[in-house]
Amino acid sequence: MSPIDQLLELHAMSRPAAFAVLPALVLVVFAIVTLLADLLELGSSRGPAEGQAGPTIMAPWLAMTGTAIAFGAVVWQWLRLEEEAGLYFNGMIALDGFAVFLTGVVVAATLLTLLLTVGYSRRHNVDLAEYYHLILMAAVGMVLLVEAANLVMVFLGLEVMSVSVYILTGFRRTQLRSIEGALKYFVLGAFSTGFFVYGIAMVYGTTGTMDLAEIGTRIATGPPAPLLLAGVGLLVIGFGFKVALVPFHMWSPDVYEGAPTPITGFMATGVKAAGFAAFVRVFLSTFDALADQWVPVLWVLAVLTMLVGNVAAIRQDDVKRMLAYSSIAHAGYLVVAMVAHNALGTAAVLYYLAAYTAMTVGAFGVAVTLSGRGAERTSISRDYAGLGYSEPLLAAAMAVFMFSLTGVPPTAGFVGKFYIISAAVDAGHVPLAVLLVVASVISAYYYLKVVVAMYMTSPSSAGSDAGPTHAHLGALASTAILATVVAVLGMGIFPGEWIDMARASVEGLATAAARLP
Amino acid sequence: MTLAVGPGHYLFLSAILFTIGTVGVLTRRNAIIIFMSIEIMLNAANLAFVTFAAAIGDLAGFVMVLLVIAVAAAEAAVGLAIIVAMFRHRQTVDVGAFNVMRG
Repeated sequence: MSPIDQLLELHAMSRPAAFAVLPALVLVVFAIVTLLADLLELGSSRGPAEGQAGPTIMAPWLAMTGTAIAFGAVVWQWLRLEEEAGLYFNGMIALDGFAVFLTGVVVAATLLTLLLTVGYSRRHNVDLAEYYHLILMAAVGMVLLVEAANLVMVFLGLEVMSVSVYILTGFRRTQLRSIEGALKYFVLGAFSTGFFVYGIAMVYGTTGTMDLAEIGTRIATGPPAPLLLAGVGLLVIGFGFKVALVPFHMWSPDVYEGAPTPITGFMATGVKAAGFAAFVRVFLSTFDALADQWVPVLWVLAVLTMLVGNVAAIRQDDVKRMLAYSSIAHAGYLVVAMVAHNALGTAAVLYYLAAYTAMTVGAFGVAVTLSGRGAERTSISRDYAGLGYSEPLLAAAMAVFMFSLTGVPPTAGFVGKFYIISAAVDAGHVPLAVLLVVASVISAYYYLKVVVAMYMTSPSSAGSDAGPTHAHLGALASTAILATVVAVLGMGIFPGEWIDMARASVEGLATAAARLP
Repeated sequence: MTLAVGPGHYLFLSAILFTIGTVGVLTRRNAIIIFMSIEIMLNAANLAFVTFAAAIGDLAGFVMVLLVIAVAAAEAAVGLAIIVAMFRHRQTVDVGAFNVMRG
């Protein structure tokens, strides 16, 4: 065979393979271009002194363009899914409905984060090209994590995502809180990586492979080895840290409070969605045969997570800490859907992750626009008092997000909880469904506290010396908040299309496990 | 009397190292020592990987070790940078000095 023929053959092989990771490829290219463009800008003396790092001009636009193109690539993947679905890169990457749906969620979360962060970055002096580069690299990690079909790939995706987010958490390095958050996130994140890698080693040692589908077929017969169960337990701990399940949640409130607010929103949505994607794929697909062993463990974690998250959130006055505990509680609801262990439950996870991403990015978006120059202004009792009168539209948006997080119809949060509860009841976990409802009732207290502060108190009576809070609403941030409001209400009022998409995506997950003999 | 060193011994050593690392992270207050303990945990996992890979006769475990080492190096760069930044704030690397956020 001539070299040309070999090249052609390579090309024929690589085209669909590149298609499988197209969103990640686009994000990588734009992440590198973002950094290179900064070099050009440095040459044209825009910093305080020539050649010195200063505010970037091109980076946010390049990052947003790249993410928008990546989202287009996801849509293209979705449309061509029937022809292209399968395993790529020697079984490292799975292109199925599950992967494409959640890639869409994480890329959308990245795009919304970028829209929200531009004004904030200028006010807080973090608008460096590295900042945007790291957001894109974290998104690359998320996409790879969502598409991973091998434990090696799960590990790499997790780490590319986590290491980027450690840096982003500490990006306001002159602020003690930011560094403290980064330190806690790094120490506990790396600690959980240790458990995760050791868990992979145990699974590899007992099954002799790290391929997710192959592990599934090898453990399907015979009683599980003790070492395998130890490995599965270590993986539960590793994932538990990453998606902040009680009792592995200690880091999350401090990290969420310390990180720059747009990054907090990014962590609460993108990182959590990607973590859950791998969690669901590994447990519901690969370790399906061990369901009798892991379902009781996750049952306990779900109960603890829902109760501790919601009860701890009641005491919070800082909106970022409140949303941190709220995100812990929502992780608990998602684990309920996993415990249900049926197709409806898995579809509910997908629908809920999309809904949760929209409402949480929106709520953090409001917090971002309220943060002034230097000060974050996140106190619910002081900074949100009277917001309904000083910023009526923004307050209305915040009220929509709070109602949706509580689970009030006609919002996406209600439909999501409805599907999770149906799945749990179908599976016979009635006590768990009841606990979920109780947890939601508790959550109404602290979500509605924000609404009460906005509409039923005035800034003067709340003892705020800074006067009413004003929003820094640029065109980009307004677009992001408007888009999330539309998404929350749209997914709530017309849930049919979305749940059909989620159900279709889950069928792909089932075939991925059943493909091998 | 000869003592044959088999996979069991390596796995036992790996388990001991992993435990030492875990206990180190949970009990020490110095950020650098905590970081070293995490590295011990990762290397315990690496030892388990090479042992299993050699016992099974499969290359994937060896490749995984290289990837873990590369990722640990990236984590070291970021982690040490964070520790330097925290030292600039408080002139100490004792994690107890970094607890302004609680609740």
